[in-house]
Amino acid sequence: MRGWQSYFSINLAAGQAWLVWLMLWLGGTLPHRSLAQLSDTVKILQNIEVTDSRLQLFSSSDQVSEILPQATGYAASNNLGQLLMKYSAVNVRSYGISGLSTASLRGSGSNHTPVFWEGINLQSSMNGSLDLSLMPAFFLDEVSLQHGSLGALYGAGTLGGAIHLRSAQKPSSGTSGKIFQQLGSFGERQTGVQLQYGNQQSAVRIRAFHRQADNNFPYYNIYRVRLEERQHAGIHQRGILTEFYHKLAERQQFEVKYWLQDNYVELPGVAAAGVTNRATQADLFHRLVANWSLTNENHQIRAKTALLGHQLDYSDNFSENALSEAISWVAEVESTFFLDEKQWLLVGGNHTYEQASVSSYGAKPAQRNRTSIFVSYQTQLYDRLEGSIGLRETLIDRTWSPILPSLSVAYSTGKYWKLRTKIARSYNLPTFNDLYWSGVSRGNPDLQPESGWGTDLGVEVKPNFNHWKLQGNLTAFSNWFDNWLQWVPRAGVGWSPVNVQQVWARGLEATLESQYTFDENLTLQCWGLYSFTRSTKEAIKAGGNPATLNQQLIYTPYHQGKASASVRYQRWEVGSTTNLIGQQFTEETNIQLLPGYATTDISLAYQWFIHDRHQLSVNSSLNNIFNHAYEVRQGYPMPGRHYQISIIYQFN
Amino acid sequence: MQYNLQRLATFIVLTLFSGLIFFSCKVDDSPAPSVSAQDGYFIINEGGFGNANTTLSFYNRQDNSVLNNVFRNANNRPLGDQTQSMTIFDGRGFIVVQNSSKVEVIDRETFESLATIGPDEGIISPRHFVGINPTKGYVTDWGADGLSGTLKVLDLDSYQVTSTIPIGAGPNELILIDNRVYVTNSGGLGSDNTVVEVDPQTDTIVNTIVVGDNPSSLTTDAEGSIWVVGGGKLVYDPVDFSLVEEESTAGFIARIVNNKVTVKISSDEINVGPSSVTIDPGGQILYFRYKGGVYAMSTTNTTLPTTPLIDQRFYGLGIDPVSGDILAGEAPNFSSNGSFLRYSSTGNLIQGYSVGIAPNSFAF
Repeated sequence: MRGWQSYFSINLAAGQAWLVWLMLWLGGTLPHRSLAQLSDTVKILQNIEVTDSRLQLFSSSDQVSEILPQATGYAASNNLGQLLMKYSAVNVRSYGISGLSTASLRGSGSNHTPVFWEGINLQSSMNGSLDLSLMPAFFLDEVSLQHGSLGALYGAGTLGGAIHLRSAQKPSSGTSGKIFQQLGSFGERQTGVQLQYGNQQSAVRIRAFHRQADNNFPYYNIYRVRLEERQHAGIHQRGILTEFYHKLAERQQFEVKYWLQDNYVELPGVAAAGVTNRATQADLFHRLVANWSLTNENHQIRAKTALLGHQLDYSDNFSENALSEAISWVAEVESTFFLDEKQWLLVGGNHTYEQASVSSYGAKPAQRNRTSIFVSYQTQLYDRLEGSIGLRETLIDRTWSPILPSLSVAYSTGKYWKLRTKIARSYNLPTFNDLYWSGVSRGNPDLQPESGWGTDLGVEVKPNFNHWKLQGNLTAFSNWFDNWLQWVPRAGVGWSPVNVQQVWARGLEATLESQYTFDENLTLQCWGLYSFTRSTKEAIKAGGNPATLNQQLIYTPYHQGKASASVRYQRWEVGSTTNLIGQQFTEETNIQLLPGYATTDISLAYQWFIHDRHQLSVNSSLNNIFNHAYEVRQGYPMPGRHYQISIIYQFN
Repeated sequence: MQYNLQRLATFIVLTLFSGLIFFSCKVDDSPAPSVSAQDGYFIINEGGFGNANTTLSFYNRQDNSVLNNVFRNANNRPLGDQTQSMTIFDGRGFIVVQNSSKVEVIDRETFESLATIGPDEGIISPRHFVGINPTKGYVTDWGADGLSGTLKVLDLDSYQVTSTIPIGAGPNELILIDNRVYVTNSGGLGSDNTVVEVDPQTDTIVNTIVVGDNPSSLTTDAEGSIWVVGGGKLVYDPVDFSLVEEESTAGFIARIVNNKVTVKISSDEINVGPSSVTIDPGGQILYFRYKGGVYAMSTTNTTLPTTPLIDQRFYGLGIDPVSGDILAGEAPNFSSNGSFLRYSSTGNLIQGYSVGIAPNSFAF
């Protein structure tokens, strides 16, 4: 017998350590904390559904972190930006509590770590970013962070890494659901409902939320030298996510998901401003993805198509209703072949069409076609050594992009240890704003893509004791970016983007995760992360500022330390999370800086079983308990001590 | 194995917390001034709009040194967002911080704050200050919409706004000559083409002089005439954002004598015009920024010079009234610190200094 099941069976014979590692990577589809005895593991694996073979099978030498397991006591009303800020190595750059939040990983830029939802890149074609603060945690069941350059597997944009978001798998048979109501400081209230129904053939899951927050927190305004209330920082969001799953035949799955979300955000502006900013932004997102898969014994084929719509309506003190609209259409087919027990092959193609109508681009909408082919090959060379190579080539309108190769090798040195290394290339395309903006400041149609090579070397340890689970990871990385883009003053007036500099980002990432189960009533869990990042300009081309050579990129802290711990006793759970962020430069010659800061949150939860199928729980958290005044971006204060409490009713 | 694991865990935990020691370091880049501030001048660093990083630097003539961050160091608080100008008057420094909607008043000698005239006093979007007498000053203000500009009348004893005079769009630099104040209306977020004459005794407009599109800067020469420069007007097609050349105008330099434009020299290109006009201590030679360089022009010229005195793009320009040195502020962008470059009056570089972000002007 060949195929999925035989691969895993034979691999088991090859060494238990392999299974442990496979479990880690396949862990996205498993209850993360339920690693059981190895004999049980086989049974679980045989039922596994590969929902993302690129992440689960062809990224086995990459550093992948699951975010939600350590997010102890996190409230469903949190957004993706807050989750990544507290529980990952991502440096989240944020303009305050309701402001734009973007991810920088391994010293890369803000647009270099795209967010993939169900495998679809959600980066805006207009500005290259996705506001993490608009992504509700309630709609996300799995959040994985893949570190490093990922061009061969995921294409453009992935210079620093990728953030993968997914729903849980097809709901099992029966009806279940939950409803929650949350209240918090500064006028925060959120209601969420989730219902799901499934049978052998089909399943449907619907969830919706409504959230409002005034964010009028008190703070000491160092510019006005007085206590103030943050003004014009409210947010109003509502969304619905509908998922439909259908088994077409024994080995064929079809699923379609539609995410509609409406956001209205007041942009408070800098605290040093004398007059309250009146800028507002309304974002309407439509995200539709359809996915079909056919799994044979030695072959899986997946076809996917997605339609993304984004309407952005911005107005401020000076202008009203600047409406921008963007749509993207993605079609993707990929095949995974199980050549024999030790070799897997992935072949795929992707076509992405992007179009944006923005008044500043002129009468004609901007558009771009991208057609990619990609191939990855993974093999187990010896018992302890595995390797993979990948290639991607893209036709962007009528120009071929550079070939994006990747090579990775992993070696298991013993029962618990694994060494891994990787080298890969990636690039980032200029955004439509960079290319087509017109007016006093204008885009530059001659821009080159930003390109980069990333390499890392890591060691992982994951011993498995009876009651104690421990997992450690230490990775050194080095990324080289060329043609890094920056807007610089034009010869006449205004600004224009140019490919201005080379950047070298290098550093260390260390994580430690531990869980100790005393008995079924008492579990102890802790998680910690430290990252060191040095990201410097190594060459400055014409138009750039030579005085910034060899200086650290702004808003890139050298040091980040994050930790969480929780104790679960019977129906109680107590948790705590601490973030230590080092000082960061706010100015490119590295003279002005933002001081480092530390925040600590605590949480308490209790769960009642009302009846066999009915549960009620109360989650509460007290955030920034030491009431520390801090800014993540200069001039944008963050809230002091504040609380959140939610009551959740669940039935199944 | 167990032992190794413990060692690894200890190592990682130690690494994790070693970051702590880096958290409390701060760069304190300039000590308090120890010499008389009479012997120097201020460099105004605008900062990046919305980034709350405007700063003030001070140049000491005695030892040719520059102190940065002097406002923060003297007052233990940041200056604010987007300083447009500073004027020394009556032993006080009037720092005009546009996006912070305030005028910070400091002691010229100690740099210590004397008062803040801010949004609560009615300041909205201020640009430049001129002192009329020790109890009265004017501040130009763009207004909330950037179009309805006013002149705010300040009481320099109580530091209150005592009245507001509607003046035009985007009022910018202003000057006191022979008991009359002349205000350039630079257009703000729209356009304007006037210089307005105000009687500071009565706070009323006595004359409106049409001079050319978007006049932004002015000075006075040895003969008492006024020199005004303007950037001209750019008109963009609302549909495709291309430049509509027929409706756009070139920049200019103009001389006003007895409220009449007696000389007007236009640039040979639209989209290009002189700015930051200033004059040598003798009042004979005008200096301004133009076409990516610093140009010098005699007050007797009838055409714009064709070659720059200093072939380098600057963001700020001034003349030291004591030495006649040409002072230039260089801003590579709005996210990195700029430089202050000191040139002789003939355009030879004497010395350069690192200052704050976007040095836009000087105050003497």
